[in-house]
Amino acid sequence: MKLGDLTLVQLRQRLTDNDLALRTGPFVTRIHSPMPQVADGLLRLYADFPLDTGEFRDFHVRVGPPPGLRRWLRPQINFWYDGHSPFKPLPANHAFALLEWGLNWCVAGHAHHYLMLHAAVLEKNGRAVVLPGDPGAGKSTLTAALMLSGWRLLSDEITLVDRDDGLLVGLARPVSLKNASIDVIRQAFPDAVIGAPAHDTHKGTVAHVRPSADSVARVGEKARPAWVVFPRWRQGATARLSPHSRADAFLHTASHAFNYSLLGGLGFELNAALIDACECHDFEYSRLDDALRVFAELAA
Amino acid sequence: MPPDPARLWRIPPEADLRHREWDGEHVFFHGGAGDTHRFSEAAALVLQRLMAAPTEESSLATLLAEAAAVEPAEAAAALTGILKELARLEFAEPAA
Amino acid sequence: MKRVQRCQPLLDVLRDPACMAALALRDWDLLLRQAAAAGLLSRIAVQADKLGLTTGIPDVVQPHLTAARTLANKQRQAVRWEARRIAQALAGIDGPVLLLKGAAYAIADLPPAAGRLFGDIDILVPHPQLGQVEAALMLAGWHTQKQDDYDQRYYRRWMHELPPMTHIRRGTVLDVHHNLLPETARIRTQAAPILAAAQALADPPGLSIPANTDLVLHSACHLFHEGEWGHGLRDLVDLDALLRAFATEPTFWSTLLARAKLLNLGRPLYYALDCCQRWLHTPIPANAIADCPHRPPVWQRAIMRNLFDAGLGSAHRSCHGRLPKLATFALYIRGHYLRMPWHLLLPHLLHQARRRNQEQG
Repeated sequence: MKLGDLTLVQLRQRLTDNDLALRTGPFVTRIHSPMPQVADGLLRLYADFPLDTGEFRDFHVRVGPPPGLRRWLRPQINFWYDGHSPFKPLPANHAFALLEWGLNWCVAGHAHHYLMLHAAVLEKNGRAVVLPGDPGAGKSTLTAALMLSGWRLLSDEITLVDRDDGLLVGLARPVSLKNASIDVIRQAFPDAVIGAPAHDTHKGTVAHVRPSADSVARVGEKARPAWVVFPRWRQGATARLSPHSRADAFLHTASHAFNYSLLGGLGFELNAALIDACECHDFEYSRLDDALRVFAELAA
Repeated sequence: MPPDPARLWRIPPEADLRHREWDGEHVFFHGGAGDTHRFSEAAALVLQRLMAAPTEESSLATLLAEAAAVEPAEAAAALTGILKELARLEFAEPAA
Repeated sequence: MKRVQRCQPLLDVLRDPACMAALALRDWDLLLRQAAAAGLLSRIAVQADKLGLTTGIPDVVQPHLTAARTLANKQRQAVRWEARRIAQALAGIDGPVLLLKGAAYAIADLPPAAGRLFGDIDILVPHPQLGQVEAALMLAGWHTQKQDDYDQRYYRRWMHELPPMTHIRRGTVLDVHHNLLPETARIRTQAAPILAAAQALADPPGLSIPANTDLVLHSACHLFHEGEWGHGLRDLVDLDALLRAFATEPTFWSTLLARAKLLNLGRPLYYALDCCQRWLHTPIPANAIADCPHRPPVWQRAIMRNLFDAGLGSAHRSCHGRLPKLATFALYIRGHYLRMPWHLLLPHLLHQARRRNQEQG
């Protein structure tokens, strides 16, 4: 059964009753929330995702007001991971964004059977590109655009590397966009489904793009890494790939990974194997259509 | 620490060092301390030699001199700096 | 003797790890959450592996155990490395340097080390050597964090330890003790016998660990006198592992009681043995508890038992007993109360609360 098979009323009920378990790639998360923004966001962006009916969940989360009297004094909500809250409270209308950040946190903080890099990853024609991104480099815009033009999305934020075979594992969750990139994507892809924006978050305005049906349907397929590309948006730049030192790429992915250090020697070996398998590039661009063309040529 | 040609250097016990090289650039991992570093070709040469077996300073200097095609004295001077840095980062130490 | 029933299935698994082979999926769901909250997920993961149970455990559960083992392995490696650096830094010190608790278990390969998570490293040195030790550590890269004058005073004058020292490059934290309990504590104990009875380690040379009885007494003492109840059950698991290992030695129990009397730690030992037996079914000879020196009066035992049980079960909501959060707070106060007289305690707690509010604001 898929989440989209529920009506909004049914979805709200199950979320309130703590009776909704969502499968995203290898993880099952039970979600508990009375917030209408969470139900709306899920229905709009996660309709294609399977619901799980088993008895074992990987994560147990809640998005909602704090227990007890405080809820009447401060109209703020929080993200709870099995009764414990790792974040600061936020205004109620940021509920869906908070859920998304929380779901990332669940994976990044716990899934140490993978090596987890801070990078987007997409696949085309059997080969995957890993996009490590410094904030503000335009990685998210590029990720959304690639997905909307036919690349299979594995993740916009966390690259999961399987420790046994070095292949990449996907989550296929919504792509998070900030500020100006929301409009850029809206204009370039008028048919894209984008969730209600949350304004005035600590990252500015945040909204999420629904993952393509193909990405969600094929989330169980692992992907073979072929390229590591460091994107950088620069005003007026022609879309261009140039070589990037592999030792540099190794150090960058390692220092920005979620759990490279925690994995010790295994982290070193897995990251090294990834770099061994990939061509490493810098990528500069300003126009999206140019960028997409260069990537299409890369994947051909 | 003043140079001493007879001094024996080694990788510290339980350091668990690993090494990879791409296009002439060397990256080393130190399992004990959990650190990852990029080292110069010269330092990498020294480290790889020590990873094979504990070695005297004089032999390390010879190794460097031959690899870089320089006079032994020049190599020895460079070696002092390299060993100091490796010791500071806990990648190498004088054998007890 | 009433045995603790709540906190299942975690307690069953701690008492008998082999029962992991037969758990239903629903039980695994709860077990992983209870264990994680108690800081014991890595331990049960390592035990599952040691017992060869992995093939029988459901596929969906395995990644959680793998992840937990990965974390424990990394920490074990880090502690071992850190101990070597400490040994090297303090090679010139006159007198013994003892690793305590987690670090001692890890370096000496004692049973509590399996799957254990480590925080700060604790060492014990003779009081006269304190200045020398601090200087040697600073030379080797450890520094006291910038703390306000109040905290510096608290540590140096009133406590049994220096303020925590952080290594400037590795970021690891070292706590240097000169006694097991502060001089201001209501129960006074001495460090000299512990230092005298220390067992020297072969590797790394220059470090020692306390004698077996002293490891047990320190663990008991730490559990019931510190303020950290979040780790209560984990500390009890340490104790249980030590007792099971050392009890094979025929004179262990009589030596332990005699030692408790000498060090004036009979009261914490009593509570420790009592909790171990009720919570973890540790095999303890009946007379060991009955003959504990400085046993608390009967009327006090029931109250303290309830408080301790509330503290031990506080980690996860599914383990909460009838007593509310108040009990954990009472235990925290008690922890501090035992370490500082009231007239020093209140200003201190007020200061901590104010500082905590500032940090969260």
